[in-house]
Amino acid sequence: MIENTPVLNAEDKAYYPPGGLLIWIIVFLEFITFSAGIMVFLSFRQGDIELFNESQQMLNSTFGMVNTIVLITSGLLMATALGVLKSGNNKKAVFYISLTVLFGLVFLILKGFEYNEKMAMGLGFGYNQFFMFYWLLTGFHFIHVLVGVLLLTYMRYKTKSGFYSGSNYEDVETVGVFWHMCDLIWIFLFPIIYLLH
Amino acid sequence: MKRANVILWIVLVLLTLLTFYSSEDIFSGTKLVLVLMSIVIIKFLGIGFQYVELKDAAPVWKVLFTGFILVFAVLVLVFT
Repeated sequence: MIENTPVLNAEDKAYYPPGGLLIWIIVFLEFITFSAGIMVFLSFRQGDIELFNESQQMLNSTFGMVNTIVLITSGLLMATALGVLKSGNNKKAVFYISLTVLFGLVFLILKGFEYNEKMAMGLGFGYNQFFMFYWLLTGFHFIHVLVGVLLLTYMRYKTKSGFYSGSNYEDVETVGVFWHMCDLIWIFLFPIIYLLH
Repeated sequence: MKRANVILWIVLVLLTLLTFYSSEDIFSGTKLVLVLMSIVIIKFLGIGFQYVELKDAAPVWKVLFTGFILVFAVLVLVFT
């Protein structure tokens, strides 16, 4: 006798967050990790506020602001991509996922320019405590955005091939949650690293 | 594009500009931390509830998500 695979009914499903339980465990672990890093950054800052404020002046906060708008825009595009995919319009979904990837790449390129500028000025990881945290926290976030771009590129390919559709979109939704997580982390990382003085 | 999503995008961009300029000239010290964290909370919840669609999720997820950013903001105030 073949056992039936347990299937979630609508009532059970209502308790699951968008994208599924597993991605939200990851999201909260990431939030906690970045928060812990920020709290350590702030406690070191308390020890030498002058050094941290002087070092912060060496950052280009305009880069950070533009990158915030770039990520916010990519979040809007991702939400739109998922909406049109759910409605069964694969062609439009591919278009919006492509735009999301494009904005993700713009973020990475701008960050690359910023990192290059810092390296040229000799402001590397070991320059002082502020820059140690700057490279750790923004670098870790950079890796997440890079992973997000790769995952979205794969979702774009599979959506274009028709694998994902209006009746099979859960994986795209999960990757969407990961992408929004990158956005959300940047939302609290940017003002603390670049603007707090 | 959903109208609510576009309106939220406009609000988020305006809040980002406000964050940027308020730290340039207008505020400093504890007042700046309060302004920055208030804007972070609004943006965080806006993205979470609207773009991630947590508004349609079970209350427990809304509470966890909101609770996280509130605790984070309080901790930032404590550590600065």
